[in-house]
Amino acid sequence: MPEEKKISGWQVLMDDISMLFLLGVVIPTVLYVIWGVMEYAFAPTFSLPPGPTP
Amino acid sequence: MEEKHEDDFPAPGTFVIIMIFLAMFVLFYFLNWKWLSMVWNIGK
Amino acid sequence: MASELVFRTCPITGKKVYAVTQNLIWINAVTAVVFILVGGIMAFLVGMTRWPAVHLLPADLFYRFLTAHGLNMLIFWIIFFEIAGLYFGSSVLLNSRLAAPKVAWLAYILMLVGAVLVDIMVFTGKADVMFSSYVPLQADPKYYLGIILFAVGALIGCGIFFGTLAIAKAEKTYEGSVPLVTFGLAAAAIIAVFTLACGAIIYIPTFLWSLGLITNLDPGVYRLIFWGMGHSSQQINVTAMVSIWYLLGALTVGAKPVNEKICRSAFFLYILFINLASEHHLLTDPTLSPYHKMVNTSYFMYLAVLASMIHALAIPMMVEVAQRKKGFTKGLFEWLTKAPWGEPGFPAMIFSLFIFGFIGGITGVVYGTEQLSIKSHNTWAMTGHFHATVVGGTTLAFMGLTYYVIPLIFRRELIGKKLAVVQPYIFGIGIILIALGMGGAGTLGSPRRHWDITFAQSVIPFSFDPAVIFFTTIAAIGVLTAVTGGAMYVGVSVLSVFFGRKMAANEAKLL
Repeated sequence: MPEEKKISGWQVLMDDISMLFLLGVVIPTVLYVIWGVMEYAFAPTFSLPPGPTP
Repeated sequence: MEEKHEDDFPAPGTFVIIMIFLAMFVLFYFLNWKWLSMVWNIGK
Repeated sequence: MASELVFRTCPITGKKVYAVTQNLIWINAVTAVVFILVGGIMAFLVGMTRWPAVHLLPADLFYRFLTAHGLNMLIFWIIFFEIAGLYFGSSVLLNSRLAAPKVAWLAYILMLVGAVLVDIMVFTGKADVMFSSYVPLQADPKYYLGIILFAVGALIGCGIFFGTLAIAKAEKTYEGSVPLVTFGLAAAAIIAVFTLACGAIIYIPTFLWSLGLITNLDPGVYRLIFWGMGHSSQQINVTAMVSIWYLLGALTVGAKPVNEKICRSAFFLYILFINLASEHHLLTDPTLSPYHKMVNTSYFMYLAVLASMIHALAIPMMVEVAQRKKGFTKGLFEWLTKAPWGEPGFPAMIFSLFIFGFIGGITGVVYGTEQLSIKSHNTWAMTGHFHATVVGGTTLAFMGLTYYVIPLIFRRELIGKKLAVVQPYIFGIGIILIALGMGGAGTLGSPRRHWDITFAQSVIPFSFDPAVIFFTTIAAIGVLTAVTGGAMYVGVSVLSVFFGRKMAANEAKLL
């Protein structure tokens, strides 16, 4: 009976295109897009001091 | 008779090319930091 | 339908080439060449305007044609070629029928209509906004609509690629893991999905803003998400280019990676982290915190740089090992000097590798450092960097591949083989001069996207160090050389595709 070649966990991950797709979309979306938009959304706004504008 | 060294790195030419590449990297980094220091003085 | 299952067997590789796949590769690749012709004419005109000795165009046409140059080269030429590559990497390399060929044709039509619409808007002066179209600069709504249509078409093309991978796996048309080239193209397609999603997120509101349906678009957020599309689209090019290097290595010298596991792991790092490099466009933006900048560019992006280092070692190494096995073992470099320099694919691959690595890669990583970015941002040094990467790297690799696609896939003999052999040298030398000239001038402060660096019409006179003019002249000579190389590529490709001798079904001849 031929010996079954053991496939490493790493190869299983590399062969799983859907998992790679998920990681490839989620990681930059969270670290770059969502974090960046949150920084813009919560950036403190500047208010002019009271009194006539010079 | 030349001995065949099984442990020899199989691509010595590529190794030299990569070392030149890394040296150029270091040089370009150094030059850019130097040029930055020349246009943006910090301190006295 | 039965017509979708008609195939021929390649006499050289033994692969099944389905007729529908062949036609789709043909139409996407030929269309790509049309757009490189448009972009190349713009390159000549813009280059001759930046050269103060010629200063060809008036200001309004300079910015208009610069916009056209950026779009036709960075987006239309490259993405049409990549879609052709995706169909090749899935259907041909996996011996599989293509998923939904009619949808693939729809994708092509959307991309073509979008690209033509964008070009019409640009050339009629309704979109003088540069490739980056930063708000509050506003173009005609049809410009944004054109880009959206193009992006949707490209996204569908990526979907066809993934669908074909699924069909190949289900129908067991290949054994084990997908080939490395297909894996690399899959990485490119995954990056493309993020890219196009960012494109949709930013271009749809911008389109609505141009119609007056949205009153305000924050320029900072625009830049953040635009470059999520803009730079990531270049990372698709990097990943596809690296895949093509592996393919060209196999085609030219029969090279195989020494350790394929490491190469695949490097593509995995690209998938996870390469899109974070988009941050380097935002390093001088005020609102984003240093944390966002450093985590994205200083930490995670370097994992993608590590991946590039792996490929930079693996590819020359696999070529050297293959050559040494053939007996070229004298000294350190006989494997390189005795390589097939007389075939167009080999010099294209080597020039592409060295220009991308030594010039593009080094400048990219260095200028992407937060502090160093301050000195180089918005200078011509940036332009020098990306001409080295996208033109010297990706475009030259694609040019080299074209000379194999024509006989292998289109089954036409090359017309002008001697020109095809010389073309990568001429184009490569031209790009080296462009990159070094732009880099030198930019380091001395010469700005990018500027019509007249002599400031002749400026109210306050200013003149650069004369060395700027020297480097600008070097770049201009590079433009003339590269445009010549580009014209040779277009000439050989078009003549061969339409008029090259049709090869017999069992004719096993490459070049």
